[in-house]
Order: sequence, then structure tokens, then C-alpha cells
Amino acid sequence: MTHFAKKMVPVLSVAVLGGASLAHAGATYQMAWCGKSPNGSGYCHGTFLGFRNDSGASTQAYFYKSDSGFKTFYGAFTNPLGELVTAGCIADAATGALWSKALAHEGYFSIEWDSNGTCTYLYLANSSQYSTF
Amino acid sequence: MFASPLRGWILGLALAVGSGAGSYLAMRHGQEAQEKRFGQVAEELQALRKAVMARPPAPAPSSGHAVAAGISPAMQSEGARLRPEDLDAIAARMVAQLQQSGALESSGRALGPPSPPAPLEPEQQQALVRANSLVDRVLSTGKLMMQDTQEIRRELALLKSRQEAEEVRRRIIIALNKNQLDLPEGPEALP
Repeated sequence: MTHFAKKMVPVLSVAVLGGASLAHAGATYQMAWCGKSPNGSGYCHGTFLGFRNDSGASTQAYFYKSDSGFKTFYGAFTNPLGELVTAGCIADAATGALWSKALAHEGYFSIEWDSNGTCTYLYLANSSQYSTF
Repeated sequence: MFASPLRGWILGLALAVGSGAGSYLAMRHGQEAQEKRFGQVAEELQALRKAVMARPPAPAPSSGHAVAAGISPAMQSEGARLRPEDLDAIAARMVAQLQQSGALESSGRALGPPSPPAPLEPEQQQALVRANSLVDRVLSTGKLMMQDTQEIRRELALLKSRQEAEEVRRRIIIALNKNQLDLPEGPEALP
């Protein structure tokens, strides 16, 4: 191999890697949002990646299950008005049935709760757009 | 000389064949009846699925594998909600199917109200009192510290999966949702 060819190896490698990553860039989607009404009912939806990458320092979302079977959701989100929205809910029977999936979830979720703090709706979706896995 | 044993063998063979054929026919009849019943249920489910699919979808931003529980926002709209008579018809049909299948009789007891939970053990009662006192104090200050969370969690651990433990946690969550309580920074803030 000539001296010139040896010098070109790293250049070509970087070019090939860069080209490969560009060629495989697919659609991505991430978001985070929580809102609630004065009576305490509300909702959170988005992707875990979106909550993690949100500009709000306190923004987070988590599903929790204790060894006694207690299942709860907690979400915090700083809305565009600069208000920190914090909320949680306890799973009912229907939403609780999906809790094991929610605990291992990496994609999009939507959860709603009523004024009594009961999670009344849970939607989970996985897609190539939502997570790097 | 061996005509009599031969006749016995033939008779036995005929009985065996007849018995086998009878069993097969009875089993076949049972299978057909079961398949017919399954077919009816499948048709009803198909009709219900078509009705549900005709309604607006859940608010997913894109396609992909998804699961859901509860009543979706789309289903909550007045036009998409199942009417009470639809729900009654579905419930009545489910009861009829259960009765036909014998599932209700085989349970060995009539369906009734659930039996009340066993009373709390003395140490559980004490833990519940302590947990509620902690929550009272937290709600009066409007601030939940991580130490409070850990103490409440420790008390509620004695109550296992009792409803009383859930009610204590619910007091905190309702206060949080009504902006009456600040939670500590960091994960695992709820007890």
C-alpha cells in the first residue's frame, strides 16, 4: 500500500460510516406533555425519550409497582407558561392489567386520571420512531 | 371344534367396533355443538369489533403495536359511546353464554356480594394510624419530604395489598393533583 493510500484509509472509513448513518436515518418522534384541571383530573402523554430530553429540569414520567401490587403513575412537566405540572394516579383494574407492559415500555404512552386520583385510561404504543432501544 | 371360540372373538370384535363407533359419534356430536356455539360467539365478537373499529381511533401519533385500557378520549365522545341498551344486551348475552356453558353451576356457589376483608391485625392497625398521622402532617405543611415518603412507605409495607394502604396513598395523590402538595425532587417521590 502506498503512503497516499494509507493516509486515505481513515478518511474513507469516516466517509463510509457517515454515509451509512445518513442512509439509515428513519423517522423519529419524541414529545412530553402533562396537563390537569382544577379538580385534579388530568393527563400525560408522550414518549419516555421526550420526557427525558425535555428542557424542564423536573420533567419526568414513571410507572411504579410495589411488591404488594400497588401500581401508580407519576408525571411532572414544565408547560410553555413555565408552570410545573405534577400529578399522579393509582391504577384501576383495567389500567392495572397493562402495568407490567408499562413498566417495560420504551415508546409512546397516554394516561389519564380522574379527580379521585384513579388512572382511568392507559394507551401504550411501540414504534421504531420512539426509542433507540 | 373351535367354532365357539371363533364366534366369541367375532362377537367381541363387533362389540368393540360398535362401542368405538358410538363413542366417536357422541364425541363428534359434542364437538359440532361446541363449534356451533364458538361460531356464534365469534360472529358476535366480529360484529362488536366492526362497530368499535368504525369509531374514531385512540390518539396515537403514528402506527405501531399498541395496547390500551380504559375508555379512550375518542370513545368518550357522545356519538361514539355505547348506548346503555347495547351494554345491557352484551351483558345479557354474556350471562346466557355462561349459563349454557355451565360455568356458573360448576363454581359450586351462587354469585353474591364479595365477602368483607379480614380485620387488620393489631400491628397493621397501628401502622395505618401512624401512616395517616404522617400524611396529616405532610398535608398540613403542604410539603412532602423524601424522609416522609420513606417513612410512609415503611408503614404501608405492613399493610401489604390492603385497601387501607391504597387509601392512604390516594390522599397524597389527590392533594398533589390539586396543587396542595409539593413533592421532593428526584425519582420515587411517591410513597
